[in-house]
Amino acid sequence: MDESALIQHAQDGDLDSFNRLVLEYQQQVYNLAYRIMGEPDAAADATQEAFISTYRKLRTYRGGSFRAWLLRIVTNACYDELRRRKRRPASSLEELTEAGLSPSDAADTTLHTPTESPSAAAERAELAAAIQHCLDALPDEQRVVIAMCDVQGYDYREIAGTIQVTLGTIKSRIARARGRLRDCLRGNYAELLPAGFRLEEEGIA
Amino acid sequence: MNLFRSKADRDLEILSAYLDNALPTKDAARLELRLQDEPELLTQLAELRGTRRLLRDLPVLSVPRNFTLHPEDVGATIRPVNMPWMRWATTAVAFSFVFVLAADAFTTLGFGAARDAAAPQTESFAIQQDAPAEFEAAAEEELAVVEEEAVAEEADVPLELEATAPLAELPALTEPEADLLAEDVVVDAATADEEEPQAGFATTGEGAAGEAIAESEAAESGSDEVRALETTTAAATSTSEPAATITPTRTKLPSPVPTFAPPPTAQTSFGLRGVLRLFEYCLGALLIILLVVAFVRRRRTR
Repeated sequence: MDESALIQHAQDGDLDSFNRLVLEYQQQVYNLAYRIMGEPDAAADATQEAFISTYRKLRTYRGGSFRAWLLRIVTNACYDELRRRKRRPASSLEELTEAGLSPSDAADTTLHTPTESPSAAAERAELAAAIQHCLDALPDEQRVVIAMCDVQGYDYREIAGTIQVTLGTIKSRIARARGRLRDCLRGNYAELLPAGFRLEEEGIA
Repeated sequence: MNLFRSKADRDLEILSAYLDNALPTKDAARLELRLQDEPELLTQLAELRGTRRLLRDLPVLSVPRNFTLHPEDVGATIRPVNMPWMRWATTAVAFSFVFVLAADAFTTLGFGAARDAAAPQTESFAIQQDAPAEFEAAAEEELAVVEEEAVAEEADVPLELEATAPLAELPALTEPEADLLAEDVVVDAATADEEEPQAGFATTGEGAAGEAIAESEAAESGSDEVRALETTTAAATSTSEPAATITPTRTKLPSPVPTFAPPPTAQTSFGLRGVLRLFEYCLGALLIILLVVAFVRRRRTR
């Protein structure tokens, strides 16, 4: 059954059809939520909340890209959770820092390559944790666009349609986010970068 | 805002867009020329590309669990949208109701005022058209009888003219002149009455006019045609007889046609208004029913 038929059935109240859509998109949604929230549990909560919200708002869906519509709901759910956290911080700054630097969470949930050695997997997890830490240091609006563009691979137009801002704003936010991430990685985690990875030695595309 | 951005910020944005192929061709060509001359810019581009590669190489995370929903997660079933016909029906009925309401208001205000304005004209028009055509022959016949009677009595009764106001001021007439004048007056009055009933009042003198008014008041229920005819008769008699002996002849004329029947437009308007009222009631009731059903459904599925 194609996506539009599943959406139609879900709009008619068929929960099974909606759950098939959930299985189709849950990995994208969870990954985006994780890159925005920076924590597995928070990402899982945001993902669950987003799907519940999507199901309840399904009547208002009027066609177009279902993925973009779904990602917009996830992004809004993440924004809501971040705002709630800022109003009522549940953890101390130390705990947040430790959680951000710890590679264990990311390593546990990463899709492992069967042929990858344990040490290589550990290094990759450590680097991923460092990148995530730098991502967490970004302002929310920059983190959202850089996660959608460079982590999820969406183009500018799709991002602009998802978070309802202009294309120029998207370009500007992505550029600033990349600049900050570059500075963060080069300044704090240079030793974690791959051995053959030398930013200075890259050539022109 | 762009005026306050530093050159470094502008270069960063241009390089970032260049990496994503989001830079216009003209700007891209210009940047490539700059990259050949500015090694710092080239280094910056390489750093941004490396950063982007790191982000894109981030591992895809597996979901910690399935996020499929259960009925208890969403509390209740989604509000069904499988009755779109009901929304359409409600919309159609609402529009129809408003349309019929407007049509009724227009009929009541617009047509009603137009009918009231047109009604008197229609009545007078009917009188003018019907009276001469239907009663002309009868009036002439009656006038002839009255004249014959007057002539027959003329020989027996001494002539005592009731001097009317205009006639009283005239110089004394000899008997033949008076007779001639009386005949002229009678003929003039009869002719004038046939054309315009009120002309008789002016030409036949005060007594005749008074009687004519009395007759017309007494016969309010009668038609104007009958009154005109009686006035003519009385006027003709009064010129040759004393006023006390005048006995106005009432002629039983055929019942006049119903000239005051309401105009056809009024009947149509009334019928249309009735139909519109009926539609109003039906549509209003239907609209209320649909709204109540929609409200109940919404409450149940909430």
